[in-house]
Amino acid sequence: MAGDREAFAVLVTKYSDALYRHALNMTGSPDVAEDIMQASFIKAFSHLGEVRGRFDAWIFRIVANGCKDWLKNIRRSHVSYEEDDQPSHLTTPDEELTRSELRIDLDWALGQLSHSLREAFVMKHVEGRSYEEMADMLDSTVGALKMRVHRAREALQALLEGKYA
Amino acid sequence: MMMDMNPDDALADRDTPTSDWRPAGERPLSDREVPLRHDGAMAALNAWLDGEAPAPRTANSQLTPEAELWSRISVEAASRRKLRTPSHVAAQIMNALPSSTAARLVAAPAFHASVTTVARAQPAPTAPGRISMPPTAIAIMAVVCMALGAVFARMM
Repeated sequence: MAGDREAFAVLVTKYSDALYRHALNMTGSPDVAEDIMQASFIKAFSHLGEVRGRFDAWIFRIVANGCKDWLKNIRRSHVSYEEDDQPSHLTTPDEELTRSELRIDLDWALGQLSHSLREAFVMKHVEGRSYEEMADMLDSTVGALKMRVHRAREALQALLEGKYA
Repeated sequence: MMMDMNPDDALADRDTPTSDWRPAGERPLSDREVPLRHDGAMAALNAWLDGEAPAPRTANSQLTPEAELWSRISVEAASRRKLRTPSHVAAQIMNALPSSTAARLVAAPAFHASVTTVARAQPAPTAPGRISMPPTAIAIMAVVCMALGAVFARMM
């Protein structure tokens, strides 16, 4: 049994970075991302007998669903985690040019998107996945995901261009 | 212009009141609320970001303001791609794993395939209660048992 735990630890080490990045960019909170990761790996460990196909795609779907559920719940409970990250319009033009500000604004803008648009954008731009890989992991088509990424870009463009473009 | 991404459930959506109580300006943008700008600038931007065309530039070869913005967003996205999981997380996950389900691992072929691929790990141990034996050994044991049975039969 100890050997199996060690073997599972190999999987945790191998996939945790990519999964953590996804959870963090979907939720905007390091603490929530850690909680989702932990819950997802425990769930995976308890249901390993049900794995069909690739482990990485399977665990990704568990994490993605965890993020989706969290976003649903946080919106239902009327708590906006983006509130503290609202872009400030009181800063000087010099400060606005700093990268940290773009980071905050991008987080805020991502928080304005629906779950599916945000997921598509994060997978394409932040995780650097190809459309084919995304289609495989989300059980969708390249065309549908391309459209979703285009919509996300247009929405982000509309949200940010007043300040940056 | 709005484009329906899911025409099959469009009617259902129309009949179902929205569960989000907030005014339109405060709600997250749903897929269908994102206006599609069918202008050449956005198409050129998307083509560039998808790696299908060169970056859109102005007449004097500068990046367009929109391309400049996306160039900065790409730099920010690339820096996020380097983000690593905090070091304590893996230990936290391992400590939180239930011990009673560990035996199930043996019965999960995909798990062993992943582990073998990832770490070139040792072959999985045999499940508790199972004895594995090559077919030749089984055949020899069967012959020996039959011979012993015959000897005992003659003695009786």
